[in-house]
Amino acid sequence: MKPIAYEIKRTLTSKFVIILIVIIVGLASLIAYESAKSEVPTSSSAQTSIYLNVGYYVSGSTLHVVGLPVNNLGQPSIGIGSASLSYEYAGTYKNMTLSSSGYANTTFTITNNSNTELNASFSYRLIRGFSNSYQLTYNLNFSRGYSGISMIPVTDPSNSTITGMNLFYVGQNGTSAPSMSVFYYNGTSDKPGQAFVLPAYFSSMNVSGFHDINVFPDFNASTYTYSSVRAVIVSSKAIPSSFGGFSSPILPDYGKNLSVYVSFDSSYHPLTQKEVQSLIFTGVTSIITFLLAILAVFEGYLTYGKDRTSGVLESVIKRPVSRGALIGSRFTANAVSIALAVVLSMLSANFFIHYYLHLYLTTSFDLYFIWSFVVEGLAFLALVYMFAHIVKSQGALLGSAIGLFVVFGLFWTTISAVVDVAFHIVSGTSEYITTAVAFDYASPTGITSLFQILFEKTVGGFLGGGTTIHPSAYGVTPVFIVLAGILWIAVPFGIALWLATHRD
Amino acid sequence: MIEIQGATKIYSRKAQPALSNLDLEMNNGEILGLVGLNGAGKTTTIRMTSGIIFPTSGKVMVDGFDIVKQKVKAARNVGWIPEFPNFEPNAKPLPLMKYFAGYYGMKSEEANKKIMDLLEKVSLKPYLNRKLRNYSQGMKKRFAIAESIVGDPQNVLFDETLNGLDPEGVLFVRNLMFELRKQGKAILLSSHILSEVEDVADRVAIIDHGKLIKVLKRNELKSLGKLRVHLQIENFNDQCKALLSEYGEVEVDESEIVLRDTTIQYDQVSVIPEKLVNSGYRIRKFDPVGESLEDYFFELIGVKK
Repeated sequence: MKPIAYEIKRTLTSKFVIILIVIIVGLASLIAYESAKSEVPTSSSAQTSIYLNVGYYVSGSTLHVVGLPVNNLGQPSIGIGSASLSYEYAGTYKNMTLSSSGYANTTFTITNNSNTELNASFSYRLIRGFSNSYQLTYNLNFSRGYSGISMIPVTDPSNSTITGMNLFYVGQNGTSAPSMSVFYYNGTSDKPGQAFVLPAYFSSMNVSGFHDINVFPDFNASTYTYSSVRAVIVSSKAIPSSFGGFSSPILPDYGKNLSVYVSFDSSYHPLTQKEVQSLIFTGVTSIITFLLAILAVFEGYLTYGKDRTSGVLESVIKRPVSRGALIGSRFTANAVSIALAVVLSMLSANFFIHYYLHLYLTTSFDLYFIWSFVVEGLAFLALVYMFAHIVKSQGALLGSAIGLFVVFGLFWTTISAVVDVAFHIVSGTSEYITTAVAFDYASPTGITSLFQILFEKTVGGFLGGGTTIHPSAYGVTPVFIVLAGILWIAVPFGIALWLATHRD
Repeated sequence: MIEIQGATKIYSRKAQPALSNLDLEMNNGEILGLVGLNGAGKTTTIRMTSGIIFPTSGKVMVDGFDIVKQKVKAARNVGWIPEFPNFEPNAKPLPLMKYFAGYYGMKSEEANKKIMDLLEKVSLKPYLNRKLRNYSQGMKKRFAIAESIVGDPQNVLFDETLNGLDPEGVLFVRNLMFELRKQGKAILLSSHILSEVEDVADRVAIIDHGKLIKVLKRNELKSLGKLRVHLQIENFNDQCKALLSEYGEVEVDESEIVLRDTTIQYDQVSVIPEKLVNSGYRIRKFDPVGESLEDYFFELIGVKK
């Protein structure tokens, strides 16, 4: 067996390392999942709401009510933890239970045609806690005898960059929808109240035979930017009187000259790369920075420092191996586990980002992410290796390792803030930014902060932040960050190497 | 073969050197005993020879390779069995031995066979599934013996290896040393049990306060210190006592006469019976003996036993 293979195996099968890697990757995944998922319903006002589609038709003296709550993805029942739905017509209340297919249908007896209001009271709780309730009133048209079509905005569940429409249709005697065309076009040129003219650039799609259907026109495939998208069913003679929101159930009329239109206003825009990166910075990086310091410090102690101070390492030093090669192979083995934790975290973050937001983080971001965290881990590792050759006892080394973690991993930001307060440095000033950057360069955990400053061009900090800066004006450049990272690894490891090869 | 040339080791400027200008040779096909009190420098000598610590000055040559400057080549030829073996507590013997074997460039099959042979030899084969932290001190020593010779080193250093071993273990180590010597290897045995060293060593190096006091050859071990002669003479009388007094101090205890503080060398002792017989005395017992290594050792370092 190649000694390096044993060292790597020993490191990766250590209980501590396994547990820490699982925690790091698990938490990074969870945070990425939560961050990405919370950004999914970006279409219009959909967010985490449930919409109640209600339609009706009249058969003799019976009013048939058809209800179907759908989520922002146009899916019936999915994501609803509990729902309470009741209808009221002419003083008669009916409490409903959603069927397995998500419908809440019932009937009322019509005793007086002058009662034209149907009320629906709906409250729900989503599985993840959000709850809401509202009441809707529908005007019944007994002469026509059915509700027709309604529309709500939805997001494609398989691709959140695609926004679309949920069409809900209840026809005469409960029939499904006839064949119709959905036109969609850039609504920014609309002028409310004026006669509708179908713009020169539009697209359309045909639908038919449905009660409930989701349609996703390929807006993004167009060469035009749809800041406001409107859909029109069949041809239209007038445009809606207002933008945004959704019309009440629309009455279809299939006569030659009468048009029926529906509008919906989409405020959707795909997340920018910067916004996605910001998600990673605010969630994933902070937890990895903290946990990676623990992994590196204690892994270095357990697999090298402790062996050295307890004498276990002597059983290896006596072999035909140079001290440099030995310390190098142990460091490499430790580095593999750190790189593994970071890469797996990055991959899982990318997976969730892509799964929910259909974007990949840029390669440069991925590389900086991996590089800065690997550097942080290796720097802590190198510091522990250095202390392993400076102090003599296991206790002193463990104390030093914990000290490193406490100072650099836990309280570095606090120390920076104390310095700011002590020297009356005000948040947002040039001195404040300079101090923040200097403290970042002076700590292994600061490399990730510098990386964030470089990408976001803002400086945070304990006393507040969000100050926009030119990173290069404060010495935050890729070259300096790379150099700082290399120095954070090379200097303590170099000292450890020198002591190992010269001082025993 | 190991040559220690003018080796000095200073751990702290405030303390005396642990080793001071030590010159010592371990020859192939020889067992060299290394004796000394606690703190005399035995373990420092061995750790330095194994490449665990650096000499402050001087050098250690292992089969022609400097243990500091040519560590990899030199260490390949040294096997060190420490007094208190210390291994990864959670390791199991087989993987750890394979790891160690990897440093000698042994191929997997070759290493496996060799490791199993060695573990069988040290009677640890039934305990392969036990973690080393669950081994007794004696088992750890046996494992240390096996792992130290896995690379088939030309020079093997036993540091107080006999301590803590049961009689069977002591016998095993002794036989192992003889076997290795027979194979032409150089053996160093450091021990507090001087009688053990006396029994097995071809030469004994005595060190005290980091300095080499004396190196004794095997034939010298029998005639250590001042000669003492035990006699029984049938017709012993005052004239006889006067005759013997020429060679030392005569003590008479009933029928046993002891000649102490002799002024004669061991190789000239035959003149005493010759003169007694020529003077008409009938000798029933004539037993010239030297001091034991232990007596000699204490006498040499100036400590009263």
